[in-house]
Amino acid sequence: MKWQYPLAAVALTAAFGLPFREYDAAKLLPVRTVQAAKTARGVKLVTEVGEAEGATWTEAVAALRDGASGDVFFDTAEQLVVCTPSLLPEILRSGELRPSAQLYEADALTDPEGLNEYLSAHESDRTVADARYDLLREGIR
Amino acid sequence: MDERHGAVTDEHISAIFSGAGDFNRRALRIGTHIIYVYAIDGLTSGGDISELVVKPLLQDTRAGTPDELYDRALHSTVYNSVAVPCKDCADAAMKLVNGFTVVLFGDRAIAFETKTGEKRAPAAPEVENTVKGPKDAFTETVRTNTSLLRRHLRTPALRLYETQVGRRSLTNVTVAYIDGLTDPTLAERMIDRLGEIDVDGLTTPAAVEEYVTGSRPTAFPLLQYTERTDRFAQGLLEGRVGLLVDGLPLGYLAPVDLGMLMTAPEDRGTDYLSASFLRILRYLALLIGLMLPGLYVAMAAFHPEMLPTALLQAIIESKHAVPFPTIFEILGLLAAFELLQEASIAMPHSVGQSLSIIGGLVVGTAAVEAKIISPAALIVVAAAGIAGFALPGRSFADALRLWRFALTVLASFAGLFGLTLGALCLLVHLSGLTSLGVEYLAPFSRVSGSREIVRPRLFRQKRRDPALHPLDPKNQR
Repeated sequence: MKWQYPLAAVALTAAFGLPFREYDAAKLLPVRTVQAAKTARGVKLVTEVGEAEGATWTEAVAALRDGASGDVFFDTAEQLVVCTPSLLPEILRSGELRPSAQLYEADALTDPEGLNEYLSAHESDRTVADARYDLLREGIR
Repeated sequence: MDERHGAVTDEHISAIFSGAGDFNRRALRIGTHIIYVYAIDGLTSGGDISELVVKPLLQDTRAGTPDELYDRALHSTVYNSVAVPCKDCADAAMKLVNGFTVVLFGDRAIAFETKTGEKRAPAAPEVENTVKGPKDAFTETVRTNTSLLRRHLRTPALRLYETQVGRRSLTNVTVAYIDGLTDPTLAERMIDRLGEIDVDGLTTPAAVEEYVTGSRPTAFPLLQYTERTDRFAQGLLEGRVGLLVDGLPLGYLAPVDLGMLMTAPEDRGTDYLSASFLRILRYLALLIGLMLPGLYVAMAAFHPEMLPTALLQAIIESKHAVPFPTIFEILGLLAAFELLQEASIAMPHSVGQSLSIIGGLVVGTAAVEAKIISPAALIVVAAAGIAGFALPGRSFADALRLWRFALTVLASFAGLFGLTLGALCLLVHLSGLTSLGVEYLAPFSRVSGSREIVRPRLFRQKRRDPALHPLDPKNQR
């Protein structure tokens, strides 16, 4: 019994200083496909839960979150479609997307309706993790 | 033994039972002497007293002193097979409350066993149901229980140490073990513990369990109870010590460890493949019953990224329009489930079924349709509850119910981190428990621990559990 009290104390203490946040599942808006392109005003972001623009990727994400009716959740994103390849390093550095998300390149932004199903049927041979690896390797060179 | 130790007089015995409405006293004249016959109505058989005790005494027309009458009654005239001289007044009183008829000859008394045959007959077990096993469950009468045990274990080496516990209840308690097989220190420890108990009464299962085990601060059972005589007998054959308490239709077995609690008596009633499959399912049920609500809270509230998107989507949709956070939803449902269970136990059997239908189906369905709870949360709590019912020991399942709550609360504070810490606490807690000196997790600390999870073929299971230190380690050639 003597070990349980310190362990319980650690659990309670950790509850107030954990590196992850609590979500209300009812308000989550899971994103499955993210499209990003450079526009005249900066970066445009298109997802199933909405679209937004900002001067940078980070600002565009913040704008999307501000304008959404719930909690936009990028951790479920399965596909990243980049219309402007030069935008990719910025997206990767943000760490917003899961490494296993598949990476596609496209000419232009498209309607997100049905895009996830289409891309799931046409898997990419490159993931966000691969792109990160390439980015790191180029950085080392 | 000095049979004359302590004077037994009519005044003393009558004074002890003064005011007792069920106390019967009759004076009989034999020649010029008066002898007294005492019995407790309800505990004794009036017919047996008349036929086996009173009639032979009155038919003995030979004259003599009270001492001669006493000797003749003890050695020849009375038919009764059990005749015990009373040492003193207290001894006579004890015999009376145990169903004996006491006959006083001057200042000496003899107790004749005339116990009534009115007692509940052995019936099929109500909780530990069996398909193929014997249907002779324990009753409230310890002597009936020892006779049932003798029928399962004909060995003369079966030892039944009898003692009384409880200052006022004077409960007859029997310690059962097999001489030459059971580690004698286990039996000694059990007998010593019974000797140390100095309480008013030992009349409830909780009293037996807490006083015998030393009331350790744990919800986990340190004695295994069973209402099945075959399971009790099997326990003794494994080298464990049994405990039978008068008034309780149960037999207790010690030591106990986690592996024993996860073993159902039906495991030996079916083939080893089916039994092993069921045991694996039971261990899965243990994990599901214990962890699932906490895991759901941790995943839904803290780590939704760990869920497959389709599953997360399903959870989100099921949570849509539900006003309560996941943690309150789960804790509320767990509490409702426990309340429903308690209400079902308290109700008569027929009403209990209706209550389950109303509570589980009607209220549950209505609550989901009214968007008060989400279907996913209901499924999680129901699955955990059903998994808990799949465990063979109720006391063990009850302990897990408490820990399920604790783990869910910890998961609501710190997600998977809290759940893991809670599980570690549980592991540490279980590791620290012992039952009659045997570690609770003993079977899993050995290389052969897998034997607890799968049931080996019986002809390969030649050795008894080494943790019990049996004197005879092999159970077959």
